[in-house]
Amino acid sequence: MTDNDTSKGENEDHRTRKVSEAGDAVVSDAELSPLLMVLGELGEKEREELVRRADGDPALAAELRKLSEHLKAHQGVRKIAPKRGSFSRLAERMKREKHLDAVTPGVHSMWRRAFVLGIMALIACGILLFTFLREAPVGETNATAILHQFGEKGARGKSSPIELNKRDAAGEWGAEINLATGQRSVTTSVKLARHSEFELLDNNHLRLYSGWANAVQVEKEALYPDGFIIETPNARFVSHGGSYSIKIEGEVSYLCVARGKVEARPLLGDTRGRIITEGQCSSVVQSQMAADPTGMIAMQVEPYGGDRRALITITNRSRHRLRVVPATDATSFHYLLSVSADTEPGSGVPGIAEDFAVFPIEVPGSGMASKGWVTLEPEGALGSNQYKFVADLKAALPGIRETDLTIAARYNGPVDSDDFGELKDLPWISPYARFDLKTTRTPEKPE
Amino acid sequence: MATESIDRKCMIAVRRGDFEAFEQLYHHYYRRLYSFFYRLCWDAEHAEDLLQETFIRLWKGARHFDTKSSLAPYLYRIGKNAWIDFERRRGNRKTWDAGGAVEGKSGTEVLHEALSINDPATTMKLDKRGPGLLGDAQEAVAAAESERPEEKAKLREIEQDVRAALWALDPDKRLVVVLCFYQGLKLQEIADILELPLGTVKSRLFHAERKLRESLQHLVSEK
Repeated sequence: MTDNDTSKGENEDHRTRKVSEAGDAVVSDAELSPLLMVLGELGEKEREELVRRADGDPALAAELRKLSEHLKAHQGVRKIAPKRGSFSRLAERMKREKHLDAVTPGVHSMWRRAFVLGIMALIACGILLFTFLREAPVGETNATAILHQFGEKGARGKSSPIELNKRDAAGEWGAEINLATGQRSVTTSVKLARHSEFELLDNNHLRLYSGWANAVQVEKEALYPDGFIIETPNARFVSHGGSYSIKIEGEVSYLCVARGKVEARPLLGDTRGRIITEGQCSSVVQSQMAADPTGMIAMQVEPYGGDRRALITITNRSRHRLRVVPATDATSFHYLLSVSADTEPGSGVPGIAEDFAVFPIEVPGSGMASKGWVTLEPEGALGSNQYKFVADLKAALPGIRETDLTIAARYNGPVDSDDFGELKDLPWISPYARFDLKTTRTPEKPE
Repeated sequence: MATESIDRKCMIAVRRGDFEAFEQLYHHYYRRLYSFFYRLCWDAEHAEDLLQETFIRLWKGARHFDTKSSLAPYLYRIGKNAWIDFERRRGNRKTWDAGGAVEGKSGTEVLHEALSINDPATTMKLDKRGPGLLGDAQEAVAAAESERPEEKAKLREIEQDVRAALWALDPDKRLVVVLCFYQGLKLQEIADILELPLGTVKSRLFHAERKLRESLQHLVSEK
């Protein structure tokens, strides 16, 4: 059978065609069987059959003989083996070509043992360093306590590391202390007014001898197990996060909290602490427990020229210069009257039934400026720490039954401060005052 | 079966980087593979290079070896691929001509190099399989080791003729002949190694044998 015969065949099986495609002429089983027999590839029955056939077929017998003779010729070829030391040569080559450097065969040399160990050591160092930077004990980061002296108009002047346990002072224009907290990118800052004297005992412990720490900023993320501590000659203030100020005036330490919470307690005597929350001020006098907190801003409402009018006063009770929105600002209603439904006086603080916007009809002493801020000077400083205006209750309370009313004044606007920025959403509300609107049945015309 | 079990254990060890197990495998297979390569390229140096290349590939690819399968066919497959690569690099250039000259060496020198002892694969299959017709094969091999000088010279002539005849074959047919006649592998094993259908192997072997027999007609007739 030839290639041509194969290609012409219609009923050839797949295997035959494959053989043909491989370029080899297809061989029939009859042609193959003598070779297979000589090679021992035939089964016993097939071999016997072939031997029987060879007995009666001289051509087949001759073919088998020729095959046998041919294979014997190949047997004549001698055996061969490589020269001695072939494995040593192989080992040398493998060593030379760095096949033996890998941790396991076939693994790229970058994963060789030393390399892997090096990488692991590097990762371990990285983890340690990261942990150290994130959670280093506070006491070990003293080198990052820096004092920045301010120049004129708040410009930064000289900066220098602060030496522990050494008394120092802010300059003519004040100063700022920056302290590491053990937490990356988080610092505690303490702004000091001019000539304030201080001593740094630790990164979370400052002693204020005199003057004013007018803006202390402690982040909640700071890792202070005992909080950030400021000691004055008579009091100790601890915060775990907040913005506040501490001022020493004689034997009194004033605390004013803008955000967060601060615990105040005297160093001697009644050492019970008191928590002062945001928007509140307190003071520690000598060795007494911290005074009851008061709001940074105090509101008051009182009758003014008869019950139909009310005088509303907003007072700055803090040591900071504050600014509030004037009541005459028509763009928003920050001043409200909270009117209680309780008509029985003396029954305690009534629940608020309704809020009404206040319409000022008079602003004594400062005209009717309707935009910008109204500045309230700090308590005890030159200038007024109050803002007052008169409101017409009848106009402000449309639809309210004319009867005895319990009214409080509220301010829900922002309070701006140089030291703390803008304070919002703090509860500034006056005590309740009693107004009798029955007395005058006829509403007066506005003046 | 026991050999296969040992091979598997050795390969598992080699995968872990055990060089002693690798050496054990080498000593188990190196003669057979050397002979295989020598019969393919008829050059001792190239045969050893191919032997080394095969074992280096075995080492590098140890982790890809399926320990459930037999090592011998796997090794032969690596060897075959190494030889194909070698031939490609050589541009299928035949370095040995019919007169026996090999790149600066005389045919006799090459032959002397080749004719060292202990080629276990040579005609091993004939020892096993030809009880009737090839019954005297073993005797022929034994005689080759104790022959007289004139017989030795005659055998060398035969060898030279056989080599020339083999070299004249196409590489794919030569591969089948070497695996069958000289390595003693069954046709199915050869088909597995070469990843060819059994029919193709039979066909190639049939035609190769015919061509060889024609080339060696004088030897066959003499016998």
